[in-house]
Amino acid sequence: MKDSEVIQVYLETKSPICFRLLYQRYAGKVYSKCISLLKDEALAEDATQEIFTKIYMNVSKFAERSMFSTWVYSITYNYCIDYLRKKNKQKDLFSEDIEKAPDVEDEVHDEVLLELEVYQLKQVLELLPADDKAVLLMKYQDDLSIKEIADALDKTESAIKMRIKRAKAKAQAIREEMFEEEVI
Amino acid sequence: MSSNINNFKQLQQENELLFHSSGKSHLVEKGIYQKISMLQFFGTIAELYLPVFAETILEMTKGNDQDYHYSNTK
Repeated sequence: MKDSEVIQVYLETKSPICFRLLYQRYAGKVYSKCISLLKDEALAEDATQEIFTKIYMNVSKFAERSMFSTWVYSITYNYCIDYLRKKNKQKDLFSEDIEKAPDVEDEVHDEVLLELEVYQLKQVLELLPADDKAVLLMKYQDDLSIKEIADALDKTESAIKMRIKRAKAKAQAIREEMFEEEVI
Repeated sequence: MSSNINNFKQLQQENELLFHSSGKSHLVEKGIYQKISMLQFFGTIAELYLPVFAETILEMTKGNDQDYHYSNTK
């Protein structure tokens, strides 16, 4: 059954089985994003709970302008970014100043990130600021288009392109520093 | 849009596996239902009693306005 069909049945019947099905499909993915961004297991569990409560309370407002997964991920990233912003862990999260900063000269090829071993990628992501990490996860993990990322984060497409370019450059710098001997 | 399993997706799969195999998934799900029940309970209470509270507050405000008006015109 497609997500849209499950939601349709849920809205008609209010059956808890439908919501449970959506939870089973997306809870792990939501938790994965939360732990990547918040870097704390307990916080990630609390965030997953809060995000699914939001989904439950707002599922009737889901207008199918996007895929359900995109809607869920949008809620997830925005929840984590808001949380970090409030906690002042990332004071400059998606600030306009960074978007106006000088351009990164060289475009880093996707392969630089995609050829990393999973344990290496995990360590590189660990050291990236949350806003950079968010756009990379949206692009390479969720396969979202630039427009979808821009819509989810309420930014312009050019700002997102710039952010991805910078995030890749930062990731490459971290990779070179951490795994210099392993890079051929 | 690519659906290949790249290292980003492998990392997500590892985290998902950890979430489900450690029992965290059940605990979080239980927490969600408890929170929803609580929100629904307070929602019902608010729905039932808010009109009564609103009416009382309006009455009180109305009285205060009259007092204020009376004291100012006296």
